[in-house]
Amino acid sequence: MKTDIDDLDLALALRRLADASEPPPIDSRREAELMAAFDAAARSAPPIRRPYWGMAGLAAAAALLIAVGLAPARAGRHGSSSPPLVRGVQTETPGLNNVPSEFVIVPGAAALPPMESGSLIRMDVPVAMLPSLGLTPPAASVAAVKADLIVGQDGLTRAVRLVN
Amino acid sequence: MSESDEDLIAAVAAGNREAFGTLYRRRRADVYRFALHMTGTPSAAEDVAQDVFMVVIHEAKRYSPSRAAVVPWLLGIARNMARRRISERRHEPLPDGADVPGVNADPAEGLARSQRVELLRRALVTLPVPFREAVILCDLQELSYQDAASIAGCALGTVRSRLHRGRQMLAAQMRGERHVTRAWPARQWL
Repeated sequence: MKTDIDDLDLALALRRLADASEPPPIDSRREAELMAAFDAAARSAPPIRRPYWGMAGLAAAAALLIAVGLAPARAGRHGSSSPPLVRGVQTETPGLNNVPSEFVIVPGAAALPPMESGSLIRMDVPVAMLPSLGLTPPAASVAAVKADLIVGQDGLTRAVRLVN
Repeated sequence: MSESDEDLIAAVAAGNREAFGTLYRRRRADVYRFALHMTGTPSAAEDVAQDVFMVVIHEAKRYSPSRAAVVPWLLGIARNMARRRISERRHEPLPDGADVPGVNADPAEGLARSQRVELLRRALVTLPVPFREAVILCDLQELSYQDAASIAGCALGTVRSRLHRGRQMLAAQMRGERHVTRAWPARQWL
């Protein structure tokens, strides 16, 4: 049968194509780049977290936030005319200029597979790349800016924000 | 006894440099071949393979053996990288076959056979991406339907039907029926 011959031909050709696709030898420069990246990642790896102390720290921070947040409200409710002792949580520190902006979704990210896990990576991004990430380049003439990237389990960037 | 891929990934996640090197040397070829057939160009395949192992550096700790074996996991990452590259160069001309390594062009061994393989390679690159990846994963990488489905993010039955249709389109192209794939906007069909 003609169809069977075609199928067999195709199967043979596919097998030959698979056999004919041997990769070139490993490029030592590329391998060295990877190993350097591995070393850099190992150096910047966060210390091992201790769950107990981590939770205790979180609880303490939460308690502090609640206390700070309630203080102005309590003062107002009792009709005190004196200024509240705590005016609220300070959101900007004078002299600290690396306050991150909001995260924005990278163009095309909505079409990617759902994010199941990911990493937050801070890196220098060339200014020329910012429009493609959906960000407006800064007015200052700099070649690169610091940005936080949310990278999914597939290695593709989902969202980005500028750090400074 | 050599370590399994899963052991190597676990060691990579724990910061074992040697394990990463071993994994790279062992599995680079699988990733490269997949990327080569997907993108059609050796340079793009090299870049995809490099990018995949860059991701492994950061994502090894998130790998779960219960969800996928290591090779399908790597190819899943490669698939996304390759698709992105394909969409970025959608308007570029199709690659020619001159720079494809390993294609047997020895006249004594049969020029016709070489031409047939080359014709198939070029036909494969023109297939719409979902059909192309089904053929590559199942026929060239020889993965199971289950693994191919998990990589492509679709149902097992969908892989079967895409594979069947992809083979049909390839066979038609091999017979010279070029209109079969011309009906599909292959370069834009992601």
